[in-house]
Amino acid sequence: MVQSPAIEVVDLVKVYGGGVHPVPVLRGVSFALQPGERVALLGKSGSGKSTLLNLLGGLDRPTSGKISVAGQELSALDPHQQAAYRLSTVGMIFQSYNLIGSRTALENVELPMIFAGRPAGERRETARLALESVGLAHRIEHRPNQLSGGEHQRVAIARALVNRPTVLLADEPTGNLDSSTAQEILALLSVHLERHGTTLVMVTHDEDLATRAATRIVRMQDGLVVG
Amino acid sequence: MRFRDLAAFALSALRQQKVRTMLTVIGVMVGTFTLVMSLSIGRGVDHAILSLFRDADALRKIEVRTRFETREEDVPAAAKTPTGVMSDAKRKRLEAALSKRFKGASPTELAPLTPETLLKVQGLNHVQAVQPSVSFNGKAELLGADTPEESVEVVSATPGSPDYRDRLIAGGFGEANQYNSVIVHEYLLYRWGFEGDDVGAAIGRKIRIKSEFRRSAAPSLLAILKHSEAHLSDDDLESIRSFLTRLKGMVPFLPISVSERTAATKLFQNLRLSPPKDNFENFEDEFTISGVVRQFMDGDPNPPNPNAWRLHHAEVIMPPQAAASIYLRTTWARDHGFENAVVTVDDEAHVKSVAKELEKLGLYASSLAQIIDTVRMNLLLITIATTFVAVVALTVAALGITNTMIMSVLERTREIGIIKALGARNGQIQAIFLIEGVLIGLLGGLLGLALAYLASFPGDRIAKAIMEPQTHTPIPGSIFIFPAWLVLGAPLIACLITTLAAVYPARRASRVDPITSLRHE
Ligand SMILES: Nc1ncnc2c1ncn2[C@@H]1O[C@H](COP(=O)(O)OP(=O)(O)O)[C@@H](O)[C@H]1O
Ligand SMILES: [Mg+2]
Repeated sequence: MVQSPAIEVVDLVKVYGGGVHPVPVLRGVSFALQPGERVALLGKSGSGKSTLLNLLGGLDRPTSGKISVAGQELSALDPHQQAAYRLSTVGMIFQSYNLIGSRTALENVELPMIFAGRPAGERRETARLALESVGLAHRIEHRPNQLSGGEHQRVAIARALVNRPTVLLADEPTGNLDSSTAQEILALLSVHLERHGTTLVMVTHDEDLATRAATRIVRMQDGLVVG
Repeated sequence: MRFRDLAAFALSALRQQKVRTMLTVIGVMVGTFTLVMSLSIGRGVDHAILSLFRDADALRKIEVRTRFETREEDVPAAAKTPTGVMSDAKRKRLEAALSKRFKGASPTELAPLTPETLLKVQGLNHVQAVQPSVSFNGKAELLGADTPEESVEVVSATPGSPDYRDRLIAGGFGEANQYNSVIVHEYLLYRWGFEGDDVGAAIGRKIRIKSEFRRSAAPSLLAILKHSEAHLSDDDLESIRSFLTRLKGMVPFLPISVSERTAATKLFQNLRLSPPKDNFENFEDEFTISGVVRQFMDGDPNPPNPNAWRLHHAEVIMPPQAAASIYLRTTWARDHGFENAVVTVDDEAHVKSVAKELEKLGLYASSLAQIIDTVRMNLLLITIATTFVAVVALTVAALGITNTMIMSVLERTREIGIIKALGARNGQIQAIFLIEGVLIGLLGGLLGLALAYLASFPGDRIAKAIMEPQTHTPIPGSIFIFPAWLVLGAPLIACLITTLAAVYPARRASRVDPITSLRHE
């Protein structure tokens, strides 16, 4: 039985600005990823990696081309379905973590479950377990400003995975961390992804990390995939 | 997503900005307070006015008087036709001027308040009673005593009327023969030597009242023409005098030649039109004292009707039949009828229509109900004005909220981007901000309402301290009333306004672009 791809991108074009000074950022990107594949997206700064990731994450819409994730054609989704897609099909983590400063680690992890409409008690328990599984059982009630960079990213990982997404999108997740912490984070990520067969697309420019953490490397240059 | 969770988002945002939240809530509170106070006192004063007069039964009464007026159709054509050649427009203006001049020079009594007129009034729909009121000056003499005659003011009053009843200190009209009974003032008795507290001793004593009326000057050309000069009575002479007075005023308007007019003017210039010497009619009647009233004091019930006010000064109070029978003997009354009468209508609701009917009869009708209508209309306008100010205050508070919330959207752009990336829908983000608006409105509205309620207690005392010296009557209940529609409506209005204020910031929040807000800086 041939598995349908987890992610399929066909002829993806993204042009910013339109009008007088159009900026073509993606110029016809195509690739397909199988479920459970872990891909490192390599390329120079400005080559369009983040743009691609945002399109995959449903945060933006392409100028042309097709994206299907877990069998859903993204351009066919209405804003409601797009929000639902972000809520349950993909999880995202960022270089700058993007935790909400006024909320504790536990409350941050609870957020996606709030929008999924899950009851408060269940939310708290699930969030607590998620934080335990990333090694932060003792940091549950801490706010982001009381956490280190590595701890920030652990909370972000717990939050991204708590709704059990089929795809995890990571934009330079270790970009702000020292190399040993980066390795710890990547190891943690691998464990979690393998456990649930989650597909990973991770942007990085660290070749070393890429080869270690990924099952496949995709290189980008000037808005095109080059290998 | 559950509503509770959305509300929790809104609440936590408000909690994070305590000072800002407090200031916006205070703004809404002040606006709501003003709104509630203005509506509450408006309703309360209206209520007080109505209950004050309804108790006195004064709202069902109409006072009628004769109306002096010359109707347009009674102006002779000759008197209002200008001579000479002129444009139509000018002719019209001059006609108006001449007609006005004629009316001013010869006012006509449309319908004298004679017994016949009163019968017509009595026959109108919804009229319960018609009571002519009579007051005249006279001299009163205590019979069987050598005390001097006293000048007194005699006023008629319906037996048992609340207008004098509360001041009775002895007797009353009671079952006695009302035709011959009078109630007298304690001061009159004092002047006659009843100095002690036992004014009751005067009851049963007889007094003689001499009344004095000016003679009628009614025009009666027919009467003059029918009689030979030798048979002319005083009345006739008086009538002729009156007729000539009017004729003099009409000379410029009479359709006569220039020479005739000149001659007539000369004639009237030389004519003496002084009143005859014997211009008064006198009557004497005997009455039995059947009751005593005390002096009217500040703070006594003071029902707002002219007859009641007249009674404050009355030294002799007479039943209407007796007063009327004295009055109707005069030539003046024969021609002109009563000065005024009080019509009692079966229900407040019919006062206006009855007043209209009375005007149709050619009478001048004034009722408290109509005056109060005007007062209430003024009150309504004032209330609308203050309510408008309150709504402006609320709107200013709302603009403050809009401003504050736009700032908070800007500050929370990143947070909004994060929850969007995590799967929040635009509608949910809008809802969070709208709920913030609702919460501010609800909190400010309820606090404003509570504050207004607390302020109404000292407010009521102050308002009454100002009003009661003028009404002379204690005002029942509070000047501030809080009907259910106000208690429910005010916080609701506050909520509505603050929610509207949140609409724009909420839409702005929902339009936050997650990519821009999450971009790593
Ligand atoms: N909203 C935008 N409008 C115009 N240009 C943009 C916008 N977002 C990104 N770009 C441009 O697109 C290019 C690719 O950006 P990005 O995808 O962030 O690259 P990378 O993540 O590979 O460094 C850059 O040159 C950037 O300036
Ligand atoms: Mg990038």
